[in-house]
Amino acid sequence: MAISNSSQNDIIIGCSSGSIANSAISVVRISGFFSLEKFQTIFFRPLSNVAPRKMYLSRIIDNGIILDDLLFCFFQSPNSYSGEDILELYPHGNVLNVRRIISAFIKNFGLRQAGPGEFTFRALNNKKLSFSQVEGLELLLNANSHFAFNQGLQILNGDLFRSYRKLYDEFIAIKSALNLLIDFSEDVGELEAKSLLAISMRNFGVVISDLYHRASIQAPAARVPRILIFGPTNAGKSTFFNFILSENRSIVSSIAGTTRDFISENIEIDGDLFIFTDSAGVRDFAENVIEEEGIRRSQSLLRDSFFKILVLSALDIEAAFCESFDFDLLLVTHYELHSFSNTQLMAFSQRYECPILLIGPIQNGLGSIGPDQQISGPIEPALFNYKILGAVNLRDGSIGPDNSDLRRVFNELVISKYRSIVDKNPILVDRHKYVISAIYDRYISLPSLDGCTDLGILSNNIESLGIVVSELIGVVIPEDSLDLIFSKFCIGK
Amino acid sequence: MSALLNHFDVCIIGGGHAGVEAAWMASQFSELRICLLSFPEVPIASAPCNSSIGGVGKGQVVRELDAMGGLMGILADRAGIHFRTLNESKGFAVQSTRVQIDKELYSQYAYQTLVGIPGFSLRYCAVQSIERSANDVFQIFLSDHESLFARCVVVTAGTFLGGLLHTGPESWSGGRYDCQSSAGLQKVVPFLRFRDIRFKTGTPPRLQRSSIDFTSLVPQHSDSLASAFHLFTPGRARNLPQIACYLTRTNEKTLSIIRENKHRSPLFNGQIVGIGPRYCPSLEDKAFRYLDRDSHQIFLEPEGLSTESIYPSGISTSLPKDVQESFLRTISGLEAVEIFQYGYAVEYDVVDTSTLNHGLEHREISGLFFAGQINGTSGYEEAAGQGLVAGLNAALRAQKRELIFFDRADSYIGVMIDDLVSSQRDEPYRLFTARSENRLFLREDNAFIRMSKYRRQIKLNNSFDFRLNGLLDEFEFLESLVHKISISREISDYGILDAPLGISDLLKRPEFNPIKVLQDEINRIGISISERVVAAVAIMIKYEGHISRDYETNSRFAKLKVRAVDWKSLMMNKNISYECRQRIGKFMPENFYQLQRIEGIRPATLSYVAGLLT
Repeated sequence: MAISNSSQNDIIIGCSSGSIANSAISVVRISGFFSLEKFQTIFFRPLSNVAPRKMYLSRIIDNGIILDDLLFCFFQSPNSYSGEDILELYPHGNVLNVRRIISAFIKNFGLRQAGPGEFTFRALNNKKLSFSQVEGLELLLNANSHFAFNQGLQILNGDLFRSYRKLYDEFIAIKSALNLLIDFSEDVGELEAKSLLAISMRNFGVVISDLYHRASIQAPAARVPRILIFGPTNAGKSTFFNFILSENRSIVSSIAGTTRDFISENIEIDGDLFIFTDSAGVRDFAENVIEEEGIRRSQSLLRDSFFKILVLSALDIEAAFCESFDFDLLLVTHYELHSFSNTQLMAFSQRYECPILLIGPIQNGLGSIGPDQQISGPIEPALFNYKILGAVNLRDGSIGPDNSDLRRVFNELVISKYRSIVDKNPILVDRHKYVISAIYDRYISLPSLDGCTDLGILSNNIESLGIVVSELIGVVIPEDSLDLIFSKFCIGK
Repeated sequence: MSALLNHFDVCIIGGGHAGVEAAWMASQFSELRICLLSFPEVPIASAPCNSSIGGVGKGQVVRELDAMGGLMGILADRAGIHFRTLNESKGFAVQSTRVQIDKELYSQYAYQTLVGIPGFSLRYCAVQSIERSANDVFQIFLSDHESLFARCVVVTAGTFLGGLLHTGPESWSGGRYDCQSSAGLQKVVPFLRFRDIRFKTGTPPRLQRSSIDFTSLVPQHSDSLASAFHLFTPGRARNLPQIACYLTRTNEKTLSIIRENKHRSPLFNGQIVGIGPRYCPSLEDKAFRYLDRDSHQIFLEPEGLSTESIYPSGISTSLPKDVQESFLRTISGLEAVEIFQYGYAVEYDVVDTSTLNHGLEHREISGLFFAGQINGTSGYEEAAGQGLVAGLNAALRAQKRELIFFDRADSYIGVMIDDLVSSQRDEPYRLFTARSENRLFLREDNAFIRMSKYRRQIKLNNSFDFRLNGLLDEFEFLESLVHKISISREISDYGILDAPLGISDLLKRPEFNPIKVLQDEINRIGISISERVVAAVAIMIKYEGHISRDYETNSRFAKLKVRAVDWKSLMMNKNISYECRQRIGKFMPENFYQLQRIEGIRPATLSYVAGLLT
């Protein structure tokens, strides 16, 4: 059910922390309009003299069974997150314990389990938060990168909004200039009014083009930065995957939304989190026809990944010449089995505009990376007997053996590409991206001012431009975007 | 005078453009007895400022009035001595007609039209006060110690209530240069509490025609193709001989004389406290507000065929007489100019229009209407538009019928009334096209279609309605015809066609004049359709795609617009800036739309309040 249709009169309960994994302390929230004594039967401590915003300790008993000893705090309306009365419980954070306490409240007092984001929705309804603050909150809570987190914070505190205000001001300038030209050209003079309009339209264009640029930067990179390894089987993808993981694996473990065809892990480079995905099991090459769904999914994976590593065995490289790929790093494994001339390598690097690393086994010859080592799961780094035999660096055009460590090269390449994306300050909120591109589309389809422009039509176009500009600054919020945003919230927020 | 003769259904106080239109409209209800009270010194429907009717936005109002069976368009056509289409190169939607009139003849025609109506009486005298007597009747006390009774009263007193005139240091009470004023509004209508605010307006000096050297000036001739206002006057018909206007400019010298005499200007030395119109600024305003500009256009417009008086448009002033003379003589063509009458400013009482409903009737006192400049508007057309609304509704009220309200979505009259009654004005209100959200639809050419539903609601069913229905039938016929006929490939007037093309597609192409195309095609078929209908259909089709899209995008806004706003709680909301809260407190918006229309409300506030509403 869409959140905007859910009943606003129920008292809701939800676990804000500690519902998935065991933790030391959990947070359970109850929101609605109630008197605290309503819950007396379950509390050992008398609730009649509980002061708002103070912590108390009490035992919780359901039908004679002791559930927990916990701290609780009462926030009285309107001085609470949702603007309603909120009771917060801090029980021991065992998942079973938390579930048992929540069920006791639901069973004894007719509470309803909160939907995702429902506390925040009530905060919005009760004017505790504005819509754009909710957008910021969503971004902040679901951020996978520092950049996304910071932008969430900027929205929450209104900084991003200020840059939209500039656009609004420029829009008002266009509107006034147009009105001057239509209504007061006898007073102001035809030419002056016309040039004012042209200038204001140009100024608006500068601001919207910049925003449009920021909005059209591939956002997944900044929001959910994914690094993808792909290539034919037996090329050494999984080996490389495990090699990188062995040092960069992040303590954050589970990743939501990963399909089972792919193995994904979180890795941390330079303090930023990345999703690292091995497309093992999916054959990207045309000769291995697999089910369409898999191809579609791997293609969308290719599209959404900001950093792509193609891993090829040296034996496959000729065939790969005919394919058209887009990637950021080429890893040529089994280099000892086939050698190329420098000219070939340079041509290859230039064609794909990417650096190439040539890898082979350490000379003492413990064997190549065999198929038996390709099972996924952690592999000791020592088992990856590699040596960088050659590297083509696109930037300085140098070719030759490079002593650099594979892991360091990988880290540097990823970070520099990532920085190049976030330095452009992309806008991450989908609604903003959509509205900005709608503004931009309407702006570029405005008729040009030369010749006999029909000012009636122009003013009509500018009115409709004004509506999307108002949407951007949050004057108008379409209902569907309300439901969309709350679907991304977790329960308990 | 017998008691019965002193009883009226509708009494209109003031014979200006608002009063005349109100009287004309009310007297179309043949069962009603109508009385118009006017000062003896002032001619009916006189034009004390500029001598033109129409203009951008205002021309649309005149056509709307005309389509409602109003008088202004008919009078302007008959008294017109110079016709123009403004914004001619800027597209049909923003084109407006302006007619310069012979002022004397205009008044004369107005008088002749009104006095011939049965049930209508005109009385020259001043009003002392209006009182409410029993049985929902108003008693009007006159200066000649008599009194009248009326079921409805329309007050259209213009600048006459508490009027105060200024030229330089001299100030004297009066409604205009040549006429006394009456007591203040509070005295005249003692049973109502009025807002303590005064507006001011001004008029330029009038120049002696024979003292102007026209040889160096650029003449501007009357446009013989500009279309007359009245629906049933042939578009190019002219009743009077046409004259030319002349264009000249102020220069650095002119402006420096004004700037040197700032301390002598009643506007700037504190003598005038009333608030002036921002959109019709005096020359002093222009000189001090736009310091970087050293030249402004002046149109020299004859005030009539037989008068010596020339109206210099764009230089309204209340500077002392000697300053007026010296700055005028710096202007090209005016080196030896003689002044016919000095420019002056007038301050006057205004009614708080937020106390009125959309029929311009007081919200608390049934039967009491206000219209025209007393409502804080400027302009003859604005006055006439309100006069029509007030006169029509007073007549309906007198007949105990339901009032008729005009929607801002389909007329400029509606836009104006809605603007006036939905918030307090703090400066004189002038109508222009930017006031409407629906500029593409509120055009001159389709005024008779837009207004027809209101005209039908009146149910007068007189000869005007008969002729109007004929025109509307023609419109319907042509509209359906246009969608059926297409142009075959053999006709090469429009370039090479790949396939037969529907006329409606052709009319939308920007490279053709849609009116001409449609007229040619109708001629080709060999049927005869009124010129105005051809224009209305052609332009409608040209814009129809745009208008429907406009409607769609606006409807999302419309949902928000009607949401109620609790202005009292906003006043206490610390999330709204102090300045915005001040404005909210002043205008007391009841819904989001009204809030949005308050000048100076920041977008941050709008977006915050919008957040509260959703």
